[in-house]
Amino acid sequence: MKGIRRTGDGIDIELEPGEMRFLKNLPQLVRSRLIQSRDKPLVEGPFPADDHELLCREIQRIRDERLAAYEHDLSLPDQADTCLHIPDNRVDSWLGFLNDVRMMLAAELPEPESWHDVSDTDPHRGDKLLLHYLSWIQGAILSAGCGIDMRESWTDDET
Amino acid sequence: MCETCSMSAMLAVMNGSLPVAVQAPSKIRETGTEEDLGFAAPWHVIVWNDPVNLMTYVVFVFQRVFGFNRQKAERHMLEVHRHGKSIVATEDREQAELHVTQLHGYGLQATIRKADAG
Repeated sequence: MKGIRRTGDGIDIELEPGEMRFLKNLPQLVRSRLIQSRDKPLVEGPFPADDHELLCREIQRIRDERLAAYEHDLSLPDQADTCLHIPDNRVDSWLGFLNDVRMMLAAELPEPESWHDVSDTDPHRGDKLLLHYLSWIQGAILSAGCGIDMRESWTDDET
Repeated sequence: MCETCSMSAMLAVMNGSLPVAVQAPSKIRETGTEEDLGFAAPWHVIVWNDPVNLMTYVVFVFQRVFGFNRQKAERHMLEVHRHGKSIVATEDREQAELHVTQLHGYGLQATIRKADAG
């Protein structure tokens, strides 16, 4: 049965082959998106800087370091095509990585708070659907790996 | 940090902004250069609401960063969700700054505020 479940020393993620390929290639996808947005003034609004070029270089350095750490922690060369095992000591890395990707996708939306709403004609439909999919995976890992489940009384799925 | 405070105290003394004549070193500390800088006073760590982070992820982060039990982590998460923010810790400034850095690393929006700032 496909899904994400707890095992003895971590969690198993069993997905369709296409989903698994996508998940394994996610660090590379993120890297290419970051390279595309290398010169984008992502933090100009909240953090105006005298030296914009220096700021961009510093942000890029942090991104590169973080991505390199993820690519190291998330490397899964010997996994099967439809199932991957995440040991307990890498669950945090996976959760952090998935969250960073979600934040990156949301930051590129004109209205990040509207990521829940996806219509057929939405020009950002692709990114929003990706956000939903990654949210499902992140939530499932939190449930299986950490035992943290969404409660009905919380009413919806964002903070 | 102590070296910085000591240096600041020395500069303050040299500038004449601190009384020195009759005070032993321990008294100089009490008069408060550290307090002026806000290192001795308690600071709040505040987590702010955002539209992207999952509620379960926020519970996870609170448990990881602060060592909260599940009940306490959920209570703070719901406070963030319902009231826009939650004071998750009150501690010395250095520790508060460390916690804010950790929270940013997890993708949460957090700031510090002096506890007596109203």
